[in-house]
Amino acid sequence: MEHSVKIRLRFTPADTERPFVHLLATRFGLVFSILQADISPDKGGRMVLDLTGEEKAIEDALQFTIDQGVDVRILSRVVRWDDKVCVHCGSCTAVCRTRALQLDPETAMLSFDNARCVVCEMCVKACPTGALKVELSP
Amino acid sequence: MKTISEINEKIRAGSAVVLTAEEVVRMAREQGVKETAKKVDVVTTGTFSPMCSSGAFLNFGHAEPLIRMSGVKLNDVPACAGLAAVDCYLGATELSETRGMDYGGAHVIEDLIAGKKVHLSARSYGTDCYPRKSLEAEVGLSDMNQCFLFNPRNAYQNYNCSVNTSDRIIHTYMGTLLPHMANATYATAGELSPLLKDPELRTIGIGTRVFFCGAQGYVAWEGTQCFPGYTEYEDGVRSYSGATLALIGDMKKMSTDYIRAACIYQYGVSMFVGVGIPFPVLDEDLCAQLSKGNDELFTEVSDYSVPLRSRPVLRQRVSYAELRSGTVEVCGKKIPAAPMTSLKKSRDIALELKRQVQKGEFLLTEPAAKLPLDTTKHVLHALDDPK
Repeated sequence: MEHSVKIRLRFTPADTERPFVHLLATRFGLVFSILQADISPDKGGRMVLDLTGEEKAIEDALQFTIDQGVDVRILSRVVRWDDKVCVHCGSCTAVCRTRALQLDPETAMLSFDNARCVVCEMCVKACPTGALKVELSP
Repeated sequence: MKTISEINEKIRAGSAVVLTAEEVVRMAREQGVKETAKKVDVVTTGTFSPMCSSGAFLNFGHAEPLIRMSGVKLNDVPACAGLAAVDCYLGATELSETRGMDYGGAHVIEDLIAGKKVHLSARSYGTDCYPRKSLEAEVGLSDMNQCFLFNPRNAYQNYNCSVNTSDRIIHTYMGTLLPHMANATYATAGELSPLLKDPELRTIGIGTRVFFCGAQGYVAWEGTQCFPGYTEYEDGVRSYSGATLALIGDMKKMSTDYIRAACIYQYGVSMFVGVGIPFPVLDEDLCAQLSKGNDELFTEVSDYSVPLRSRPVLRQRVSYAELRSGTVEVCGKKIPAAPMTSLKKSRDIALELKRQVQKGEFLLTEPAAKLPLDTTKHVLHALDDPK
């Protein structure tokens, strides 16, 4: 069965010299999409990935990451949007860097695309009506 | 060309032509202002935005034995009880003594309008005529006598767009502003915004009936800090700002579809207030104003990292069309722009008001008195003012 997990990787400047994401993909046969990346060779940086594949392959990939000394965190929290509480003001869109939260230019209604969300949780604080909350993912 | 009473006759007869502000902008562009002024009788507007200067007068009715309440709390939110025995004024931004910024006066108001009971806790020093010294009760809107919102400052005509040039994140009443000007927020419904559509306040005055959080409310007075004025740009275009309204209306007739509490992170509690004003299309001049679109209405961009009376203005003129596009250019940098005002709810209000006018349920009013256009702005001189 296919599984999907979001992870956050933190690289030191030394880590950036290795083709790390390439290894993850080729060795473990994972499909990945990069949700957020901010890396420079002199400073290191962070990357948020969505990994999809067999459960065993994901586990092995995470172990590989740890063995390689790359700081990894599974983003087990998810943002939930309650459209019944939302007033579609758009305050959350001010802080959503990945544009997971967007106002439709025609209907002026908010939409939330969980696949683009990197769970930075900025929107939870920015929402005036409590329509955005974080939960542990199932 | 037309009078308010002629328009009301048409509304009563069900023959008035009513358009929302968005619809009239489109019509004027297709058919011209002259034709539009002839055809249209009423233009409805709407806004749904955090408006801190809001609150409710509540009368609880008398208990037995009698109490002259000197300290009142509703769900642990203190209200001002320095009035007669069982009257109080609950300010929307007052914070709960137990829950802090998560719950405040605005939430009590929303809970009451939603039909919920709230816990009343009252204290008194006791008098010969009002001997009781304390009282606890569960009260809802239907248990109380008069309950009306009296909001000293609502429906700001125009408001600036905010950015943060500092190197740290700031949490303001204009929302979360990211460092190094990484975002911008604005808080006006643009072409739907009531006071931008009659900028010289020709038809709005004391006694004007308005859509107020789902009820029919009234303009009670000029709003606090009402300083109507305009900026004239080099090309002669004027940008109006500064007018505000004090509004009054019956809470028992309001709906949480049009009024909601707001928690603004690290700033405090505020209240989303839904206001709609119907404008009579009296002549072409007024129709030209009513037909102004987002590309003809402007505001300025201010730096909120400077907490001074006059914040630095980083751009004098930005149109609501540009802000609405989601990207605004400030100091040569293109940055994401996000609203604080719900365009969806503003539009819902203008449409609901249009429906009520068409059905003859909402008649227009001749103001009892004009609002002043020549108010003087005072500032507060603290004893420690730097000379």
